[in-house]
Amino acid sequence: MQIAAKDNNVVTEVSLHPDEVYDLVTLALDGDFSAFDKIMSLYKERLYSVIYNITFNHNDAADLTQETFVKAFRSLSKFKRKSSFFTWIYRIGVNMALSHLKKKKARKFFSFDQLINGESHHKEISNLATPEKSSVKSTLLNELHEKLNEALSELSDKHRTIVVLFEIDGLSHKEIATIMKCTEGTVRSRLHYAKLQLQSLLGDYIKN
Amino acid sequence: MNTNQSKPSLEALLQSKKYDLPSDDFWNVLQDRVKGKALASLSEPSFPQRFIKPSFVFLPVLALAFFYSLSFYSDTPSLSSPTISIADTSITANLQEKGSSQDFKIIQDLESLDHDYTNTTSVVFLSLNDKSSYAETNLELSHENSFEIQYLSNFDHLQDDLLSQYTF
Repeated sequence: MQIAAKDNNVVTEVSLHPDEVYDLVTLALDGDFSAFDKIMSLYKERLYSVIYNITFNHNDAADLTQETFVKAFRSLSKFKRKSSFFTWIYRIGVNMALSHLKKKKARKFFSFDQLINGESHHKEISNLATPEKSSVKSTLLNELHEKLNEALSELSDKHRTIVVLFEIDGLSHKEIATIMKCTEGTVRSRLHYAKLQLQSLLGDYIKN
Repeated sequence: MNTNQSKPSLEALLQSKKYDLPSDDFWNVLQDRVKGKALASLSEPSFPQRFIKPSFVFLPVLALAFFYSLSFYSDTPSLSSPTISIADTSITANLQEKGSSQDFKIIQDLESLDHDYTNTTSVVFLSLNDKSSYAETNLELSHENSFEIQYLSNFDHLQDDLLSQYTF
């Protein structure tokens, strides 16, 4: 039931007309914070989902989602309406997630980040973010998701991001190319090789 | 075969992750935090504004340093400066004026001694790179105690040292 409710939310977000979103942006620019609140409600779940599937960490995903919205709020005047608003805000979110991963990799050898993250100061968020596995998903699905996460983490950051945006979030090649600042051909190519790699990594768990 | 049929496809497995979302409480907490941060960010100075306040202190200091260095280098001829022709009358005239003003104090001193004198200043500019450049001022007094002033306009001597260059 919860899944159905979520699904409805997603459908509502997608079906909102771009002009309505532009109106909300204009209102937010004029200082109407409730308009920005609505924008946040529209994109928070999709944005969080994308960031989480790039970082595989609920705390990081929560922090980065917050930072993305704050940055978007501060930069609303820079939104020129050349692309759709969600492409714009996705680009902010994806860039933040990718640069976060870069920084994390860079300091991995020099700190106890992993250990500290285990006892994060964001326990509240972490607890809330952990899905109710027993009630919503079967044990088998949990296991499959864990394997999928392991396989996704084997991919490069850019390949993983494209898989997440295309297969999980359902964006088109063109939209992904705009977000990732590359050509559609690059998106297709990366997607192809990423899926081949996933197929080989998950060979025992998925259809051949 | 049957086992393979019961397995999900890669695409189906990936799409099932779409529903791997946190509870509603999580969204409420998240949204409240974003609101708080976004509102707090309104009071924070923007990126260019961060530089405005410190610039009140640094800009005058930088300007002073710039003018100081400008005046320093304009007074001291550069070693890498190009050679200036010898017979540039305008330069000579300017330097004559400068030389006169520099010597004005000395002339005043001489006046206070109640001597008659004629001031003939000439500047010989061979080259700025050449240490033999010099400005020469001859002050001829009406009586015997004529003297000659030589001031080398090179790097070895500063204007402050002018007086030390006068020999009687």
